Amino acid sequence: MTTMEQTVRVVRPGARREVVPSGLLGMVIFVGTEVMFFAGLISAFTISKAGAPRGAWNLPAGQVLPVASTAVNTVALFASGALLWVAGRQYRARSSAATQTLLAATFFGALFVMLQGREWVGLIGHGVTLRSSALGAFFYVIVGTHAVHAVAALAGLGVAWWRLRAGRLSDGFFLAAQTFWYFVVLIWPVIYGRVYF
Amino acid sequence: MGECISRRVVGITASLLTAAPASALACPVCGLVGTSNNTWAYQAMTAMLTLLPLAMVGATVWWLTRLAARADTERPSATEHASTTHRPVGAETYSVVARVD
Repeated sequence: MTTMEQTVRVVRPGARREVVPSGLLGMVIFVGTEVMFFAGLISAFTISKAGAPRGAWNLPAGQVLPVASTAVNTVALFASGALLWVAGRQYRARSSAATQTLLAATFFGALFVMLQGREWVGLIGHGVTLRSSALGAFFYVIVGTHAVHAVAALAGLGVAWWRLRAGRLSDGFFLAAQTFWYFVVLIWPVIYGRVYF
Repeated sequence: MGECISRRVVGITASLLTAAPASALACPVCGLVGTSNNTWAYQAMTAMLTLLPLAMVGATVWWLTRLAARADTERPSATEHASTTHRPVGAETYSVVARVD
């Protein structure tokens, strides 16, 4: 007769633990799909631009995209991203300390969107529309969808600020809003570098 | 019978489409390939659109694995739990003794 002993570890469903907040994981997956969305737009832009006849990739009536003023807008966007990073550190240390910094980050983000809007008004006034040229069409579609994402992310930051002020902000929501805004900030240099130059 | 025929039709159609990729221009800008000096752009963007999702999925898996590993190191091991009276909820260690005649 032989006796065998074996140790068996039984793990019940109750042993599962959250290694990452569900809201953050969902936002990461969503951002992944949005990265591919912008990659598709940038891809179409790059192939169309490379295939355009020499001198044909222009805006109508000798207009040019406002590279210099957009650089200023870009600084505002980066400032917003940096402020949000600081707000994240403050939030981890003591949640209420991040209120002012989060508000400042939201302000600079809103400033970026408003300055971009002002540029659009100027371009439309000079006859640059979706149908005026291929470059104009790509410009409005790519930069416009980025602006839509920026507005949505700003709404998320606004809600986060409101909840933080009321003492009802969850870690998952804050991290998700932070991730979305970082995506808006980090995808912009790619768009700026490809479309404006 | 009818379902079998429709499956064959779908299979044959799919085979014909794969044999004639030039007819399947799903990408609105792919028709521009070879019309000018944009082959490099087409190839570069194909590489980007192929590698980018793989890189993102890989990075996410690596990130989650790292978080899970960190959570495991921060949690006392199962052996330590088994040796004490305070076992983790849902995780229990048993000794099974089998007699083989």
